[in-house]
Amino acid sequence: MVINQRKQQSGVSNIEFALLMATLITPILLGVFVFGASLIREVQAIQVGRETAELYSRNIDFSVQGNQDIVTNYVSVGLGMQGNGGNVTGGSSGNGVVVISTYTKNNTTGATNNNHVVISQRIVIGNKNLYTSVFGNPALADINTDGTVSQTNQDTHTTDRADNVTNLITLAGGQSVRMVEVYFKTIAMSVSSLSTGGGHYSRAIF
Amino acid sequence: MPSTEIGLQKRRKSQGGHEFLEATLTMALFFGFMFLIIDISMAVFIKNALQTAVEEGVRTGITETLLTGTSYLTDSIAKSVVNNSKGYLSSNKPTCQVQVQYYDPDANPPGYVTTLASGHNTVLIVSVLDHIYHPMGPILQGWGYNGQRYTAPMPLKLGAIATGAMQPCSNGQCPAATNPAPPTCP
Repeated sequence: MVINQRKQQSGVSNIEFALLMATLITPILLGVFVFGASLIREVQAIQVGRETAELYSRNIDFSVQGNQDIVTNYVSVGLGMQGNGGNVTGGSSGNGVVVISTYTKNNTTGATNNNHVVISQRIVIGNKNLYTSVFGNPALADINTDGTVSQTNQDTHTTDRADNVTNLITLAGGQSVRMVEVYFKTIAMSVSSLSTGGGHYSRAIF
Repeated sequence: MPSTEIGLQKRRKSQGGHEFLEATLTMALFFGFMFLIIDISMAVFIKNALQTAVEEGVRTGITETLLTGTSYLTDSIAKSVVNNSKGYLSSNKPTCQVQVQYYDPDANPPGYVTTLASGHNTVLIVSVLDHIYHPMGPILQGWGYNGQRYTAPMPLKLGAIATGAMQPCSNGQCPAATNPAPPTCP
């Protein structure tokens, strides 16, 4: 009787083990790796934002190719970011994007944008398709080759406004603030239609 | 002796050695995972130690601090990195293990310099590249391929990099950056 029972149960433990591995152990292990890697990437994204903002606050001209390379080759090393050949409007490849902006509270008397926060400089380094700033997006025609927006456009173009910056910091008329936004693709198990992966966002204000 | 007992004895005999085999397989898997966890943890720890060290090196550089026994900023930065590396970098010839670069973003065109220009910003780039860690377990060791056959396991190469902006120095006050007679590296 006992022998028969054992014979009947032969192989059951193998099936149980396989099911357990497939449904519990493997997903947990994968989850630990993916979550751990994402956590590291999140910290790196914050660091990239801070370091770029620090350099930007020292008036380093990021419209120049060589200075953009500092961000792509050193500050964000290992994150798969690619430069955009020295333009200020961004490229279309790579795993990350850095959006550098200067915001000014317009105080031109009688101007359409008077008392509004406007973008006075915008430089995008990296893959612009990954992220679009939530703090204003001036028309490409308004952005000069060095990333600046002319005073006339700042005064008159309502598309150059970024009033929600005041949710982060209070500006007096004529005051400026510099902000660096960073977005990197996450490391995720991209299972078609189940998970498309996300990204890591950080910003630094100087 | 009842027939049931005889059957059980036969079965036990036929299963002799299975436990040993199972234990071997389980132990191999167990130790594999254990070494993997230890190796990953060690690699992350060393990388973090190196990252902290290069950040300290940048701090030494941007504050233009010359440590005791050094006359050039590069030597001082390298020494600071080694001092803060929790012993993972050798104190013998620090500049051979630590790479210090000065980048002038205000030059036209911007580029690497060996002498700091007055009135210019300088981006300081400090890095440790290819620090060797020999994993304990075979999983992380990997295997080299010399073009003909797979060769002995390769060690892991770890590195860290940090950047910082130096204040523009005034004319005649810029610190001596690069040692004109650096030590010969192996």
